[in-house]
Amino acid sequence: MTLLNTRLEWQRIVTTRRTTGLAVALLATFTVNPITPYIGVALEEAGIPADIFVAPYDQIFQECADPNSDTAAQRPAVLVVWPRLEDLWAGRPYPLDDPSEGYQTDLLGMIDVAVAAATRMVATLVFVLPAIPEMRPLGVGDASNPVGVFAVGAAAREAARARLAASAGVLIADAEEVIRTIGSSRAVDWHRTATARIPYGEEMFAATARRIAHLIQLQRQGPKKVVAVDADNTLWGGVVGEDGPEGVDLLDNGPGAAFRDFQRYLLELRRSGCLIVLTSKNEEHDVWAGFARREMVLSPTDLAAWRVNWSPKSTSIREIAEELNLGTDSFVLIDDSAIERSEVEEALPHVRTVPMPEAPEDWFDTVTIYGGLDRLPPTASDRARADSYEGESRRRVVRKAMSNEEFLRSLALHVEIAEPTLGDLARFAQLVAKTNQFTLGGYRRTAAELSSCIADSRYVARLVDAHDRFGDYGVIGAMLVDLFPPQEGLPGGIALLDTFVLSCRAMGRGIELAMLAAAFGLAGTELWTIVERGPSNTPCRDFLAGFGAEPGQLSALRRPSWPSHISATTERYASRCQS
Amino acid sequence: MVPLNELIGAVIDVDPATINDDSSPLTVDGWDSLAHISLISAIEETYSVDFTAAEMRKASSVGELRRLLSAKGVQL
Repeated sequence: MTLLNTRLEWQRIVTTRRTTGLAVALLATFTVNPITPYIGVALEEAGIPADIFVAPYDQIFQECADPNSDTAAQRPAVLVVWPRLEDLWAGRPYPLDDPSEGYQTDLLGMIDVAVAAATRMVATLVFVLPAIPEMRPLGVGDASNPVGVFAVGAAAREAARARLAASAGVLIADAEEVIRTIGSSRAVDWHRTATARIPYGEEMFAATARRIAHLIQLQRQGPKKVVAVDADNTLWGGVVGEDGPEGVDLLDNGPGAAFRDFQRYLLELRRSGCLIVLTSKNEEHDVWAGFARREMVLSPTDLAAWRVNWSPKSTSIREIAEELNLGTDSFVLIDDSAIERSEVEEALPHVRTVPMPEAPEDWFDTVTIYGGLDRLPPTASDRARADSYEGESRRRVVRKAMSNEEFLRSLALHVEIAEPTLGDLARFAQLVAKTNQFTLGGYRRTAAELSSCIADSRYVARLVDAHDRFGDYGVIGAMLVDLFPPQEGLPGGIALLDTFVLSCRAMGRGIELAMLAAAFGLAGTELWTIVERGPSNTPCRDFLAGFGAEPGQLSALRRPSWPSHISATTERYASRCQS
Repeated sequence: MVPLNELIGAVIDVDPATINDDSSPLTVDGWDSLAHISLISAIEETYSVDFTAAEMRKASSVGELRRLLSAKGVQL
């Protein structure tokens, strides 16, 4: 869509929409109204219809600090705050020979006020890190000045980033990164700056809006969990079944170097919590011989699963999804063959496909333009995920050899059920946002709400960490119990199981039983809950039905016995949940 | 080439038939300062021209816009 068409599309959406959407408030030190249609359309396309409110011009402090401000009255779910350094530095001389700290005070003060406002409003804060100011009086000489405009601007930005990242749940967009991508001559609009205090052109607003929308989407929906890659002409040049393992191209000074760079990128994705799986139409011995090449960067132990056979790739992906206990909608397929990609697109419409270009060195543009592999910084659980799947394949081997009861006993499962700290909030929110199968269904509490509940003595929150003799599961469960105060009209001692989620890969081993037993321990005499009749949460529904829960109805639960094959602690291991 | 009245109608959300050379922010409902900026952007994008700050301020009516565009070589 052209920029103009995007604006017209937003007009159409606004005039025809009947229901209320996500309330997004925009606060800036300049006229930011032109960004509205781009954020609106980007969120709409992400399946998150939004209502956009632009706060009064250059009133960030006031709108944040005053609990009765126009912005507060909108009851926003998302607060977007975008200051410019030019505006914050307006009353003083530009950096030349003064220490940089003085140029950070207003920005850091603004961050504190914005974080406090978002906490009070129970809203997600999206803070746009300001760009380096365009005016650098020394021009090319500014780079040589450790307290020049660029240096002081960069120091202010990094101080801001650190301050923001210290608050859980804050999303950060970066105006400098956008200008770097577009180029400042295209991003900045001096005509509109003079006329209307609009510093940027439409392209800059559109590009920044897409990033803001993408961040909001990532926080709500989570990133893609699995990258499925083909082998021939995706990991190496050529076809290993024809060219032989020594004949495929992995050499320097040519396309082979590009394939290896691509593999390095895959390893970085794996490191941040994404799983790598292989789907290749080949004979297994050929593919593993290719992997044995010493130039290979990716190794078979980096793969969480593989299917090397002549079945349709959609079948392979379905099987791998089942093996890993994940939905196919969390898969991305990277494959050079258009035929393979369309086969998968037709059979599994939720799988995103990305082409590996014919000139493999173009992979970088193709994959990054796509943006679908983007993810927020990983929690410790994310980083451990790829390795924990390796443990899973060893469990599967043992499982085949014995009965289910023997298997469970042989695991020596241990759970740690403990109160989440502020540092755990990211993982807590992630579990609530991303768990689709073992969950009560219904409303998912946002990170801001969970943070508020943790601080409120009316709620008791617990995170569940587990390990067995095959390895660490990481933090895989979360629950929130609402201890209704007696004056709510209910007799004392009744509690509501408000949130109850367990990661797919930990299901079916008794951990859910341990969690429910622990919830009763927190609750008092009675524990009630509502489990919704959703499309995906059958495992949770079936489990709770065994304890008296009627789907869609507020039900009193029966207390389970603690599963005898699981041991537990209820204190923190200090090293566990640090992000 | 998109007729100017049609473009204005789409951006400001008014019936193009009601727009003539005398139409301006004073006479057209919805043609406020932000709509004006949006309109200038749409004209720049559609006709591949660039307005200076002075020209943006001068473009106070549809007739003025037509004259500015003509001076920039845009045949409407």
